[in-house]
Amino acid sequence: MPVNLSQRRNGKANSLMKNIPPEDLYVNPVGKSVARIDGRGLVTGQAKYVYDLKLPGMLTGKMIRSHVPHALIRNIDTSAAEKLPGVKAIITAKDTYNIKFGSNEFFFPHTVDQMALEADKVRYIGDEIGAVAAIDEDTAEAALKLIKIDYEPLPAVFDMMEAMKPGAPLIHQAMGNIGVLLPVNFGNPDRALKEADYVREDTFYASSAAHCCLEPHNSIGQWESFSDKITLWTSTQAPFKVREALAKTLRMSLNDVRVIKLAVGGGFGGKLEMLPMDFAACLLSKKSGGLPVKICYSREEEFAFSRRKHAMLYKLKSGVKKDGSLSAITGEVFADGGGYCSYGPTVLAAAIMRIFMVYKIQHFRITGYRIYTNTPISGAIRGFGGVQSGFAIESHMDLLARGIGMDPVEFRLRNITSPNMTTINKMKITSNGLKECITQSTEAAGWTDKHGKKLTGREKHLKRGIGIGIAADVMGSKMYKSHESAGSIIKIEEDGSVYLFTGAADTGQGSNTALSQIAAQALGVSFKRIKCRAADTEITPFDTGSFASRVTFIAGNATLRAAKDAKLQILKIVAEEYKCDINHLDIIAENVINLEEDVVLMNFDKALDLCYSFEYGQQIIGKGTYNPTTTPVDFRTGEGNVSGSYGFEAQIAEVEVNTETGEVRVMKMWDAHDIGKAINPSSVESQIEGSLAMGIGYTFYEDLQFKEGRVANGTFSQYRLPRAYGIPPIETILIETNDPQGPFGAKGMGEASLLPTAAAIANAIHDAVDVRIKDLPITPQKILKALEEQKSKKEGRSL
Amino acid sequence: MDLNPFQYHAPQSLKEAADLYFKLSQVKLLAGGTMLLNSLKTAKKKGLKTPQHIISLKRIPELKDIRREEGGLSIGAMTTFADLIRSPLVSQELRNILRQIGTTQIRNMGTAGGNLTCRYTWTELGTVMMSLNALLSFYNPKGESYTETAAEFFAKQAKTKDILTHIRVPGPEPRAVGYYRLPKTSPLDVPLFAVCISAECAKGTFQDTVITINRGTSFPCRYRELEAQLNGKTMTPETISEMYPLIQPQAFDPHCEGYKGHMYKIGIRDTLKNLIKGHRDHG
Amino acid sequence: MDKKLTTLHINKTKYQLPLEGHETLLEVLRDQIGLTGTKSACSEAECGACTVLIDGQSVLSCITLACDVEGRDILTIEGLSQNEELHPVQQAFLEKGAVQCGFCIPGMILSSHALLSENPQPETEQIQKSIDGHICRCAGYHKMIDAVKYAGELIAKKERES
Repeated sequence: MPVNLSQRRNGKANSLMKNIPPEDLYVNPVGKSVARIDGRGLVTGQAKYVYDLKLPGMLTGKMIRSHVPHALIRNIDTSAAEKLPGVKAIITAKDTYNIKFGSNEFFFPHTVDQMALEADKVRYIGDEIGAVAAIDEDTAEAALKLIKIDYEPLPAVFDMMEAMKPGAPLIHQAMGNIGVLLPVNFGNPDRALKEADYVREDTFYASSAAHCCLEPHNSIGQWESFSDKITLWTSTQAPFKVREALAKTLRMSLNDVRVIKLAVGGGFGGKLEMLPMDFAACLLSKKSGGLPVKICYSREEEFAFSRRKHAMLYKLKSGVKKDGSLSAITGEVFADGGGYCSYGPTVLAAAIMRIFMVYKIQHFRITGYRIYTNTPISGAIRGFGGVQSGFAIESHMDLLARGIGMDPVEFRLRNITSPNMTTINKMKITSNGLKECITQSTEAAGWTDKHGKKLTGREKHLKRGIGIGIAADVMGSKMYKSHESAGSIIKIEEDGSVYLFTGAADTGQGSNTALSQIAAQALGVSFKRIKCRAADTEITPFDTGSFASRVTFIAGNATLRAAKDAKLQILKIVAEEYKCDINHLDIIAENVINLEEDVVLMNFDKALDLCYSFEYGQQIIGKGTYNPTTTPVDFRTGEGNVSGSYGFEAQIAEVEVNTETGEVRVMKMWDAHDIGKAINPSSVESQIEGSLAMGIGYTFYEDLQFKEGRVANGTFSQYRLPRAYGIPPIETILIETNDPQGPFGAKGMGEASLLPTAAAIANAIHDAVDVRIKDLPITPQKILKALEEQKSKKEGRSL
Repeated sequence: MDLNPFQYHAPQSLKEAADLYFKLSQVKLLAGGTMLLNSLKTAKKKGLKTPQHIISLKRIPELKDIRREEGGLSIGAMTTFADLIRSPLVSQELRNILRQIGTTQIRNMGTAGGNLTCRYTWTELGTVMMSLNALLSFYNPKGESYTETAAEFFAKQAKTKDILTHIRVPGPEPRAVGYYRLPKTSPLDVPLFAVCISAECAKGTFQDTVITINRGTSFPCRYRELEAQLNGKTMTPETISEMYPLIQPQAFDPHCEGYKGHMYKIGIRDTLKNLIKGHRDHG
Repeated sequence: MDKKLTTLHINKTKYQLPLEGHETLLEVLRDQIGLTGTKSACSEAECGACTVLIDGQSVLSCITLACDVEGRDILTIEGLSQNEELHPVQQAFLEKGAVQCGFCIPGMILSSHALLSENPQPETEQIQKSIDGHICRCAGYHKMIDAVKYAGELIAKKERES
């Protein structure tokens, strides 16, 4: 029975709303920066991460890994290790069902290519072939040294372009080592290019990178012998995806596998799937008779053996008309996939198809190749390929604008998508604040006074420039399962305190807080009443996971529905008691109101007394599930409406380039983000700032390197991350477009702010010193070299 | 456990520490620990041999003092970077240099003696102390104290077996000093190189200039050719402009090329700028 | 190797523990005493998550031998707040939304506390410098810097009131 409550507010309701003092963050909390619901635990050090958890009799587990990049496994001899005192269990593929798992089973079944423990073949240095559990870490390490693996070495290939050549060693049964091929083709790009006034070709390279969550992967597995159940405590973004893969590979039913998420020290896409370590912790526990087994990754393991960013090569050829309208975008994308597919298919898809959300384009052809190499596995990382494509596309667009002598902002405004439109590939965009993002950010940054003005800093070798990058992202997408739903339960206790159970995994982004705000607002009660219990597969409803900026939108809608359901249950009892029409009732600011008669009937506590009274005795348990309305994407063409909502973003960078040293100082950045509605503005800003900081790291120094398939800079001392002094001032502008599908108009966010960062900076550098850096990271060496080349070109011309 | 087992010793006096240290084998001295304990962890991970004994010097009061004495400033080897930065006895210019080294925690833990003797590439203090003509006092197995210049110490290839007890920075008038490290923005990175220049500045001219360069190896070196050209010149921006084209990085780092060679020149020039500015501000 | 009865003063509490020389303070805090608020994210003195205060100064517990700090005043995140009441730095981090995943936070808060003890009204650059030994991968540092300034105000207010 849908009740449209919000439109019925008048007299009493309005006065109740008006009488909430503005400093009261807790009543009607949506849109207010309430403190994190779990914040006290985090600031006092009391919050428990899996890393902190200790269970009686707990063993330490270690993975047995391949030391070679490519080989057949002839034999694994664990006998000496088994005899080592303190070793409790050793597992190899022999102990498993040899079932493959993957991350894109629904749309890309052929990419399900990894076994929990490889049986016959290893494909990169670090490939998991077994695991050891022992009484402590030293013993487990000692056991690893006693394990003899007999390999039949195969030739290895580390470079993706080499891997595609005929005769290259085949890593899987995939032609040319192309694990995923995505031809995306619309309109008639060849004709459009011919008819264009200006055509240019550019090649861009975006390096590999690491997630660097502060908490590495940690898991504890425990098998319960009397019930034959498995419990896994793991540092994850997607407990239900981990459960699905565990149940599949262990051949158990979903309700025999319990995955529990505690506090999580960051994810950024690196904790989205089951890793062999999760499987091993469970199976080792079973083999050791039910003792809990903890496997903690060291920082070195985290760098070398978890997941990494796909390095990508973009070859683009596009054309524009003199008036600035885009004629066609064409090209090829090559993504270095490493040994297995992981989230590769969707990363590649996102790296191509995001363009449709940003630019109105009728003629398009980009073919994507995800290539197997004998290197660590590339997977999901914040931005899902959009960071690499953001750099390539947004740099390319700037060059196209320059080519016809048009201001890059004007060029973008001419070509961007608009509200309520369907793109060439059938994406249905509803709310769209991209134009406002661009106009407001450029205005705040003083674009017209700075762009192309060749300003200098304090000294004449300090050249200033300004650049823009824009982006869009899915904010509630369906790409992995038949359904990609979220569920919430709201349980209201006798004393009026409220439990929110959500499947969504808060990994630090603050979803427990935002969802609790949504619950409080929808119920009409104070945020202080809410306690949130999240992401325990045995207790909470299903949620696909925290990724693709989906939680606020999908889990938010589920929570909204659950809260409305609970509210109706309360109002039904009140209506019965007062013999009035339920449609006249609402709960606003902690009070039950009869809107029709404009009277406050009782406060929320009294209403709960009534629900739990002798006469009514009704438990209030609201439930809600939400599955975004999308159409399945046909990945052979790229056609389909992948997401329930789309979010937009414009970013401006102002830089000062030191032409003597090649150093770039980012003076300030502006970020305007269409987030629909900021449920918690402070959290939104923090997401933007954090995302942007990651983008700055990726622009200037994050570059995960490999030597013969082995990570070459896999420690924090070698792989530099942004620190407090490296982040410029950031001005965030929140554009609230009130999405028609979003809970209170909200869309997701969290990833879009890193998509255009590298390009915005590269474009600003170009504006400052007229050199173009096309490969990341942008180092002083590259800038100096480009300046040298520019100088000698000029001299050559003048001769 | 991150470390392999060892016997931990905590002597209360230099004599006691020295007796233990020279008697035991497979032994290491522990100062601030930022270098040693990290390398012992790495050694354990790699399965390398690690020492049986660790002698902590933390409880020896005589190694912790900072004193003004005739002929200069005396710094106990166990003085931390943070101690030096806080001490009013240390010149403002030296304190500003020390602030650029390491992170807050590293400066709170790392000691002057540890930094000089570990002979790792980030022994940044070595470059500075060489430039300041510092003297290092050691304690040897015979129970004798002896002194050598920082330059003499760094000219030797092998790590010392003796115990560094004090560092003496000549004075009383502080020399003008400038410092530059690359990268500038990240104190954590092992620098690609660092430059320290100090000079007497009688009558506003460069006198007795010492230019030391950490080339990213354990051996800071002098750049004597430029020192000679600087001596007698006035401390003005014009002198720097005049000197800049004369800087030839190949003179002290024959294999430097491209970016590093280019940046050496800029580094030396900017060090001179810092020196003049510092001298004006503090001198 | 021999175990030696060692006295550690942690959060104003005296602990007598049989310790071996090679045990780091981090291991003793987390594994023996159960003070798991102190984290570690790199174990090579780079990330700052293991920061504790010794005699008021921030140090890295992952490269500190427990025996080496016998008798000294050790403060971990668990010792910062009194009973239910948050310390002003904790309060400020919470109110200013400076916390995301929280893994770097115990160390970051302790370093901020050490800074504010020396300098109650630090400038942005001084704050950046004093937290340069910490990696935060989530939040981009700005809100932390705001929080440190705000904590300074809270402390001053508290002092005025008392």
